Amino acid sequence: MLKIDQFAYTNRLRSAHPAEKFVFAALTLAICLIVSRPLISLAVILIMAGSIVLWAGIPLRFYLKLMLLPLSFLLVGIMTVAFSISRRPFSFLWAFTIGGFSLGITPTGLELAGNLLLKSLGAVSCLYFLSLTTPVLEILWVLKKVKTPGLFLELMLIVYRFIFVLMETAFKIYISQVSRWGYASFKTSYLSLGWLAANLFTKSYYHSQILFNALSARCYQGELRVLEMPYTFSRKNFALVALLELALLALAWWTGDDIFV
Amino acid sequence: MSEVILEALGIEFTYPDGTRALKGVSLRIFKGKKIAILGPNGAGKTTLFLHFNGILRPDRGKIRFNGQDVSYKHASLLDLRKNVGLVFQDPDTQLFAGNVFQEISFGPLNLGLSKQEVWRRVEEAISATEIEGLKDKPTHFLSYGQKKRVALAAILAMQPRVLICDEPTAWLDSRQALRIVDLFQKINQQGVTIIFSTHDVDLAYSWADYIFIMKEGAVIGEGVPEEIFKDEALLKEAELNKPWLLDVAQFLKKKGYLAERAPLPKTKEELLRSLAGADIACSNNRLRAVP
Ligand SMILES: Nc1ncnc2c1ncn2[C@@H]1O[C@H](COP(=O)(O)OP(=O)(O)O)[C@@H](O)[C@H]1O
Ligand SMILES: [Mg+2]
Repeated sequence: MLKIDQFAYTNRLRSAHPAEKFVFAALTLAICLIVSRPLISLAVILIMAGSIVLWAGIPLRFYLKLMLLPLSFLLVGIMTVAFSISRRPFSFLWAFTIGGFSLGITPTGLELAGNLLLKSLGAVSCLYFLSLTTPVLEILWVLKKVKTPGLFLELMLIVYRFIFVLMETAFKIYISQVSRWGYASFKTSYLSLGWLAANLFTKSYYHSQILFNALSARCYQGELRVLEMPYTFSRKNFALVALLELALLALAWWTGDDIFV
Repeated sequence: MSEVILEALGIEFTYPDGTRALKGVSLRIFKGKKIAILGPNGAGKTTLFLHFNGILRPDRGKIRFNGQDVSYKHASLLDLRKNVGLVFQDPDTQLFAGNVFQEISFGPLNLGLSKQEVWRRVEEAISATEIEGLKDKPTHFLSYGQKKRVALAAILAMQPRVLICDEPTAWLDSRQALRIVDLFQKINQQGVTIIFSTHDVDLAYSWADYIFIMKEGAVIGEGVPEEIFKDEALLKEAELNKPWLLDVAQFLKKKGYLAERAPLPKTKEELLRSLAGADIACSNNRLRAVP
């Protein structure tokens, strides 16, 4: 989480217009979700990996690690799709039978699971592209431009800011516990952790009250307004994005007559 | 004769949990002065500051700004907050925006200024606090000292007439603390009244024009630094040390190295100068003694 945030501020696409990156991620995501074909999903995964690693300059190892995160969740979820239960064992590629019922993998189940896996990874990589190249603040800026309700945006901003405050607070409490042997044994660890959680809650509550005071002290009247940073559009980037999206669509059109499944 | 800009009249305040934080505090702040508020933890300094800015409303008593009672109506509060800027002790509680530039723009934007004017003020506050290099950094990437400067810049950009800082030098190393004091000096020279709370008696002694001492929700002493720090009983009651300069000067006077009636030095430089003067005076005497 922290690492992603740091890359968002230091990657090579940092100065690109947030709307360009947003449009790129959103369009690719849409194509990946609408055109359900493994080839397209694969193409999306490759395009995004290329953009993230080659274009934005995020280390490959770090990106692979990031991709492993959803993979572990996905594999569990996909098992349930791949396996099916039936009374007739002949349609299975592989199965075992208990009391007349067979649990196994069918060709269609396998295909569906594979498609789902690729599609999910494709979608996740689009979101990774956005979060690795664009600071949260700029994503919020784009969302504001497309008329997302202000309350929702302010909430996101405060949540984002508080994640860091919370982590810092939790870390401080943790350090103070460790330095007093709070995690020396299983029992003390258990107690310390519970205490940390409880304390974190009261501290955050207190913190939110003070934040409100501090905002009021600066004449806050219910709207968090800040100056917008000037961004410059780049025609080259837009052309590139358009080209990639068109290529994806063309690929989808060429490889099958039924684009929208 | 200077005029009163901010005034507390018999302020009493009890927190919802029953803590009586202020028990009838009255004090007057004169325009253009540098005021230090000293007192042990829990004395009520922060609570008093929250009253000065209209965040807390007294149970009894009133706050007066520029000769007018604060009425706690919307417009009156906004006017107070526009003119009395409050920098919180912990910058993390004050900073909310993603980056430094935007953080600083929040206050001035709330004042209803034009975008150009806000832009100009933000740039000005950034250069005054010397944080040009941090402009588009997210606030959570900053060190504690940097956050403190950003929090200060965020208030300066609102161009208040009274600047209140809650323990501005706490947790800072001595070099960072000096930079803050230098900055205060510059701001004060532009006519801004400065109020700060501190535990640093040396800073209060050297730098403040006037000092209030608080304890357990009341003001137990006030006066110019030279007078306040002479009052041993008061210092003892407030659990304050004597500034080292004063200790040294009094010792030197007792031993005859400084003339009994010489003015007390306010800074190290003043002390050294008067010592050098004493040196010359001594050698002159010796010369005269020789026939
Ligand atoms: N939010 C709060 N709720 C209840 N009691 C508080 C709160 N804030 C401060 N106090 C209490 O009020 C008294 C004065 O606190 P404070 O104004 O913070 O003192 P100082 O800033 O001089 O250290 C203390 O006894 C403190 O415990
Ligand atoms: Mg305090």
